[in-house]
Parts: sequence; structure tokens; C-alpha cells
Amino acid sequence: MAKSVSLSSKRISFSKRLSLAPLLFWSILLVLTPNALMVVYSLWKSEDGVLKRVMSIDNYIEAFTNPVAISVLTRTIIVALGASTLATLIAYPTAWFVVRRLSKRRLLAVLLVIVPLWISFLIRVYSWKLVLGERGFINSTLLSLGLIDKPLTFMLYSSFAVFLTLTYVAIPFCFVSSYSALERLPNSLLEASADSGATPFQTFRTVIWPLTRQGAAIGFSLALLLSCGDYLTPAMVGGLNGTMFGSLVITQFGLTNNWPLGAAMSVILLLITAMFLAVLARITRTEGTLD
Amino acid sequence: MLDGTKGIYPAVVRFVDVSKRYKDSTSLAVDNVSFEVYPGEFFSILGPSGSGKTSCLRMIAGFEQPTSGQITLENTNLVGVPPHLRNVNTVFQNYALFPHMSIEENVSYPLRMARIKKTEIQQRTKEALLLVEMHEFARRLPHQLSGGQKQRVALARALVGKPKVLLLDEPLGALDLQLRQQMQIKLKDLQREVGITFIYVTHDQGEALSMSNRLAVMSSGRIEQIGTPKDVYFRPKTYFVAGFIGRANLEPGVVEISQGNVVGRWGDFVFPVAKETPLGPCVFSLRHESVNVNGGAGEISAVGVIRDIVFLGDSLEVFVFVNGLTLVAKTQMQIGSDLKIGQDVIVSFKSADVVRVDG
Repeated sequence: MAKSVSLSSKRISFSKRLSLAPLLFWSILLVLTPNALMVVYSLWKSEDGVLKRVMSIDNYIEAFTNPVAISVLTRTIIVALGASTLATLIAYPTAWFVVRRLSKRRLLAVLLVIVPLWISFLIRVYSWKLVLGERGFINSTLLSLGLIDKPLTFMLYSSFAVFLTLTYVAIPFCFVSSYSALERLPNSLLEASADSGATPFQTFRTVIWPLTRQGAAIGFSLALLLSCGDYLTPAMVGGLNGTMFGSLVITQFGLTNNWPLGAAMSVILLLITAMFLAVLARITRTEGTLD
Repeated sequence: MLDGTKGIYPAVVRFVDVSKRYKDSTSLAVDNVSFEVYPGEFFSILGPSGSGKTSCLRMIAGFEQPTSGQITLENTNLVGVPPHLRNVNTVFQNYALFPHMSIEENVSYPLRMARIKKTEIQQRTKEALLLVEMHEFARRLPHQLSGGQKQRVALARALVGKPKVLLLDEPLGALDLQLRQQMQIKLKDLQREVGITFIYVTHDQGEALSMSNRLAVMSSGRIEQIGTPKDVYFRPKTYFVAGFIGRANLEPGVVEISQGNVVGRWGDFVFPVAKETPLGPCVFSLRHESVNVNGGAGEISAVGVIRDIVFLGDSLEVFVFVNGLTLVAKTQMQIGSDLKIGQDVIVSFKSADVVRVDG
């Protein structure tokens, strides 16, 4: 009896390992290799558009001593953190409302939140031009109400427009991950907390948040990754003032044809976001598992 | 506050004409239920699933509000009071321990929410853990415990705040048989030790009969009978109670007047019944173990023939056709071992054991 058990458990572990093989294969092919190539590239040099395969950290020094790069990087981080935070602050309570208050129409609500994801990213970003532009929705509404005499121009082509658009783009991601965490939370835990004399706020602080903040953090991370590296949004609604680090990176790969510098800037961005994510994972960690 | 009634009715929990209809439901989950639970009592609500017993408990805890009627805790109104402001605690069927808190943190939770002094919290948490013998596990997390251990922690958490009433929602349902029997004894001891009123909801008649001071039997949202375990077992009032608790012969009969006496006629059996028994057709209930085959006491007796014998391990169920009725007798192995199908036997029982139940 014991023999057969150990045999079958071995077989399971082998088949488990086998089932992980494609994952490993794709990770190596699609994640590890490109990133390794990027790191290697970042250590090479480009002289007048000609690639020189000499190892040096000159690209990093150049990126860190360029005042434009530094200020754009700072702005990128601030805008990305801001957009991710706002998106989470909107999505988490919405997810809570959908999970707790809706029963029959729950699926419909989830569908409505994630339906924008089915539309092209480009179109979603572009549509904000129609909202924020000089003859956009907001301006024409305000004008027709007589609240302003001439169109407001600060909205479009600014960091604010980028921030707003990135927030909008990030909301479905934050919603889905918050939703799945909140939905897994058993009602009996909330009842047990209330039963123990906890006010609704105490229940949120001591039970709901600790058990769902990881879900919120995953949404936040997705939002952060999306907005840190994005170059389409700033190109379309950011204007000159709304340039993001991603825009600088893509310039290196296109206009200036300096791939090594572009790679170095990418590595810098990657490390900075990784750092934020590591800190986030650390502070949102919760021990114990739901049954 | 109904101060005027305080001295007269010492009830801790009182239900007055309580009904509950859930949203989107056409039938009543709880249908005009009234009962009282007295201080220090172990009170059980027994019924099959869907009988409304858990709804009653949840209305005391505050997780549900009654559609109509009145619920009071020590003569103060409970209707509309949110759960966190009620001085009652619940032991949940699935334990509902907070998975991210240690056992100690789980048990101290009600005290921490009440913002009691740190030293007192420590002291009382320790006492509660000692009470359920879980002090050695204080630093563990719930997922590191077995079902029985989680159950004890849930008990400690519910008792630590010294509630007026402890509500238990099928707390032993998820445990295996042996552990369940151990916990029954523990729970009863614990209840005596802490002196807190327990309201215990279960579908298991064994638990209800063995632990309770009194129990209410529920079916389809209504209370069928309230009484001591002995009362409910031996003097069932309704057909449902007689059939649900234990095993009983339930056969139609009639109560009539014969030669100036009120008698019950059951098949061809005729026996005296109490004078105030309502006349007319009815159902009589007689416990399987109250029927004797070839021996035992009982002033009513007749010869019958054995139709079937079912082996139950420690006992036999003997199906006897007698006086136009098929009665089942539960017989000890030693007495019944030489019985055979088709054999003639003398069936006897006490007329006092025959109970008229409402259909």
C-alpha cells in the first residue's frame, strides 16, 4: 500500500514538473532572453550610429548626468505613481461595492468595467483628446453653460492629461485584481468581526484590508508598469510638457538611433519600477491563507 | 425597555411573534415564532435544514433583521441594533477564524475592539485559551490547526468578551463522529463552568438531547414543540416531532367514548387515555423501544406474527403484525436472538407510552 502511494506521488510530481516545462520555456524565450539582451546592449556603445561592442557603463553615466533625462524620469515616476494610486483608490471601493451590494447584476457590472479593454488602446487614449481638447466635451459643456468665455487650454497636452488618461486606462486592471481578492473574502469573517464588537471601520482596518490588500497591490503594480513604460499616451495627449521617460527611450531606438543608450535607460526604468514593486510586495504582505 | 416585566419574566432572550421573510422569497423562513430562553440555560433549536433554526440564531446575532415581531435581550429591544453593539457572541459553523491573525490575536480580538487595557486583554486572553486548552498554540496561525482545535479557538474567541448569550451554529457539524462526541461533553462542562446562556442550533437530535436543558423543535419555520429533552422524546406533541426524534410507530387511530370512558382505539387495541384527550381521528405514536416482544412489562398485550427482522448490531428491529397494525419493536440482542420470521409472539406495551400527536 505504502509503496503504491509513494509511486503515484512520484508520478504526480513528475507530471507536475512536465506541465511546468512550457512555462519555463516561454519564460526563457520571452522574458529572460530579451531582458538579458537589453542589459548587454546597454553596456555597449554607439558612435555616430555605429554599434561598438565594447563593455562600459558610459550610457548609464550619460543618462544620469543628463538633466532632461533626470527631470523626465522624475516626472514619469510621479505621474505613474499618482495615476496608479488614483486608479486603485477608484477601483478598490468600486469592486467592494460590486461584490457586497450587487448580487444579480454583479456580472454585468464587472463586464461594464472591463469592456473598455476590448477597445484598442490607441482609441481609448485618443478619446481623451475629445474630452479634454479645446473643442472637447468639457470645454463645450462649460462654454454652453456660460461658465467660461473661452476654452480652457491647460487640460490637453500636459502632464495632467497624461495622468488622467493613464488613470483611466489603469482602472480596469486595478478593478479586476481588487475584485477577485474581495470576492474571495468569506462573508463569515466579516460577520465574525462585527460579532466580536468591531465597528464597520474597525472591520475594514483589521480584517478586510489585510486580507485583500495584496489584490489591490497587484492591480497597483499592473497600473504602475503600464504607466511607467507608456509612450503612446504622452505622445497623443501629453504634448511637450507631458513627455514621459518612455518617449525618451523610444527616441533612442528611432530618431537618434542610439540603441545602447535606449537600452541603458530601459534598464534604469526597469530597476526603479522593480524597486517600487519589491517595496510594495513587502508592505502589503499578509501571513495566513484563506481556506 | 420593558422594565415593568423584568422581575416577572427573567428571560435572557425573548422572541415574540417573530417572522422572517427573505428578499425574493415567497415563503416565510421563520413563521410567527415565540419563545424564551432563561439565564444559564443550555437551549437548543433542533430541526432539519431549511427549518428556520439558523435564521432565528442570525436574528439574535443581528446578521438578519426580523420582518415582524420583537426580539429582546434582557428586556432591551434588539431589532435594528447592529451586530457589533449586541452583547452576544457567535461560534460559527465554519469557525470563521481570521486567517491572518495568530490564535492569540484571534481570541483577543473582541477585547481589542472594545479597547480594553492591554494588561487586562493579556490576562483574559490567556484565561480563555486555558479554558479551551489551546494556550500552547497561542502563536500559531489558524491554518496550522486541525478542525477540532479551530473549533476550540472559535469558542474561546466567542467567550472571551463574556457575552450575555453564546450562540452556536452547528459548531460540531464539520467534525468527525468521535471528536463530536468528545466535544459534546466538553461543551456541556464548559457551559456549566462559565455559566453563560447557550443557544445551540443543530440538526443532530443526539446533540440536542444530550446537551440541552430545554430544546425547541422547528419545522418549516414554525416551532413544533418546546420542552426538556425527556418531554420532547417521550411526549411528542406533533407528528413531525414524533417522527423526527428517535424512531416511533406512527399509525392512525381514533379517540372515542366507550362505556363512559375515554379510550384510544388503535387497530384492534383499545386502551384508556386521559379524560381531556380530544375525541376523533388522530395519530398515535409509540417508541420502538417501548414495544416488547415475548416478555417485558406492559398491561396491553396481544399475539402477533413476525413479518421481518432487521439486525442493527446491538439490537434488533422486529416488525410484528398484530391487531391490524404493523408495530416495530426494538429488542436487545439477547432477548431477540432466537426470533424467526413467521413466528407467533406476544407483543406488549404500556398504554402510558402511547402518545396522541397532532397530525
